[in-house]
Amino acid sequence: MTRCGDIEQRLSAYLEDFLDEKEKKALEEHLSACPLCRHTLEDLRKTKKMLAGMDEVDPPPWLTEKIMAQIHDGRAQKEGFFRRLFFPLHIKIPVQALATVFVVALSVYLYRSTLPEMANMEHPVPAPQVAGTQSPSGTDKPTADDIGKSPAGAREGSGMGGAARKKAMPRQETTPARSGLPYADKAAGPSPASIHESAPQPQQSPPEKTIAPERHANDAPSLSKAELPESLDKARKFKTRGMAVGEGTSKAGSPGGMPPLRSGAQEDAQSRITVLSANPSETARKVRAILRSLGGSGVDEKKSGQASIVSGWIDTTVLSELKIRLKEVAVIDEGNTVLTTDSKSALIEIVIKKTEDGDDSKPAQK
Amino acid sequence: METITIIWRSMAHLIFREGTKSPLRLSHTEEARRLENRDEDSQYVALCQGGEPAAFEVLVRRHQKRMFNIAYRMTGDYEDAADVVQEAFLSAYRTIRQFRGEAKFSTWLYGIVVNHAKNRVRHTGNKAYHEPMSLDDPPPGGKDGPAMDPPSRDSSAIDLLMQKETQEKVQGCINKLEKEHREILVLRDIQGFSYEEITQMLGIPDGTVKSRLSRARCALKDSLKKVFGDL
Repeated sequence: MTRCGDIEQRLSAYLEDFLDEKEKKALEEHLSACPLCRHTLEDLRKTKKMLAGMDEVDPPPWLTEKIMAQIHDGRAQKEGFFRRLFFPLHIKIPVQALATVFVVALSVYLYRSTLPEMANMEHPVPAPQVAGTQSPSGTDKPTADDIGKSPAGAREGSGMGGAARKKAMPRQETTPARSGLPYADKAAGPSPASIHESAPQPQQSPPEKTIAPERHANDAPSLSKAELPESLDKARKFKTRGMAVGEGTSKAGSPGGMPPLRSGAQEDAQSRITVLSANPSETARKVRAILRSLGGSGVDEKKSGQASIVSGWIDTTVLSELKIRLKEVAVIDEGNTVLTTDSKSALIEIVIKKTEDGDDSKPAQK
Repeated sequence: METITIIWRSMAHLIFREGTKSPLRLSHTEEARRLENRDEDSQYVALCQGGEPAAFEVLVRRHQKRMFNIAYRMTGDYEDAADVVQEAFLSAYRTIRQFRGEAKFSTWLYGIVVNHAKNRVRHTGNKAYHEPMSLDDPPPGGKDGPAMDPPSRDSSAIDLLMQKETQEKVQGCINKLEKEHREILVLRDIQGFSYEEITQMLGIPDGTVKSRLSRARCALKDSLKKVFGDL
C-alpha cells in the first residue's frame, strides 16, 4: 500500500516522465484509487501550466546602453588606475629626485655652516681670549692713542664682533674669530696693540700701570663709552664659562692695576699671570709646554701684536708650581697677576709682554 | 560600423580556420543552428577575451532579455531586475577570461545572473511584497517599467487584465518561496531550461535538481491554493 505522502513527492517526476515503468504503474494504480492524489496531480499540472504561461517582460530600453557605458567606464577607470600607477615612473620620480637632492644639499649646507657653532657649544671659549684684548695697564677702554696706533686691532675687533656674537658659547680656543673678539675695543681686556705698546720694561715696577688708567680715562673716546654698556649686555647674554669681559671704567683703577673681571668670569675662577719676556713668541711656546706638562687642557696661544697670550684650563693645585716654572722662563709681573683657587680647576691666562718697548704705552712705573 | 566589420571578419576567419562547416551549410539542421549559435557566442566571447568591448555589446543584446526575465521572476521587482542584470553583465565582462567554453556561454551567463539575483533577494528580501504601496506611488519599474494602462471595456482587454492579475498573484506566490525553490522553478518551469543546463547553472547534481524541483512545485501549489482557492 503506497502512502499519499510518498506519492506526492513522485508526482512531479511523473509529470516529467522520469519514473520507470514499475514506479509509473504503481503510481497510476494509486491514483486510480485515491481521488485526493488525483486532485493533487491536477493542481501540480495547473501550477506548471501557470508558470509556463508567465509572460516575458521586456527589459528597459536603456539597459544595453547603460551596461556598455558602465563597461567603458570600468575600462576608463582601469586605464586611470594604471596611469596613476605608472605615471610617476615617467614624470614624478625625476621631480621627487630633484627635490630630494635639493633637500640633501640644503641639509649639508646648513650642517656645515652650523658646525662651528655646534663645536663651540661643546667647547666654550676661554675667558682670557676675550680679556686678552684689554690693555695691560688696566685700562677699561682703549685710549685715543691706542686707537690711532692700532687701527687694525680696533678694526678687527669691531669687524669680527658680529661673527663672534653669533657664537652662543664661543669656547673653542682654535677659532680664528677669537683673535678679534667683540669686546676688544670696549671691554676691559687689553687690545693687542695696547698690550704691545704698554708692555712694561722688565725693570719697571708694576704700579706704573695705575697711571695709565687715569690717562686713558681722560683720553677715552666717547665711542668706547657709548658702546660699553651694550657690549656688557651682550657678554652677559652669553654666560660663557670662563669668559672674562672687563667691567666699566669704574673699575679701571682697581688695586694692582689688574683689569677687573666680569662677575661671570669671576664666578668661573679665572686666573691671570702676566709675564715679561724679550721674546714673547718663544716664551709663549715654553709656557704652553709648561701648561701641558702640568696637565693643562685646552691650551691655546694667541698673538696680539708683539705680545702673546697663552690660556688653558689647569688644576688650581698646581698654580704655585706653574708660577715657579714660569719664573724660569720669564719675569712675572706680580702686579698684573691674579690667581684664583676657589674651584678645583681654573681657566688661566698667561699674558706674555715684550719688554723692549719703551714708549709711553708700556706699563707705567710706580 | 568599422568595428562590426572587423568583428564579422574575425568571426568568419575563426570559423573557417577551425575547419568547421561553412555557416551556410550549418543552418540546414537544428543541431547545426545550435552549433552556429554556440559558435557565434564563442566568437564574440573570444573577441571580448581579446579585449574588444564592442563584441560584448552583441552578447548583451542577445541575452539581456532572458537574463532580465530570470532576474525579474526571481526578485519580483522591475528595478531590482535591471540592477541585477547590469551587475551580472559587468561581472561577466570582468571574468570573461575565465570562461573556458566547457558549457555554453549563455548557460555560464545565466548562472551568473541567478547568483546575483539570489544575492539581491538575500539582501533586500521580498521588497515588492512587503513594502506598502500607495495610490500616489509611481507604477512599479518607474517610468520605464511595464505599462500600467487603464483597463479597457473590450472583452479581450478584460481577459488580458485578468491574466495580468493572475500572473501578479503567481509572482507574489513565487516571491514567498525560498530562494532555492524560486530559482529552480524559474529556470525549469518558466524559462524551460533543461535539467543539464540547470545543473550547470546551479552547480548541483541532477538528482538534487529533480528533488528540489518537486518540493518547489508542491510548495508553490500550496501557496497558489491559498491565494486562488481552487486551482
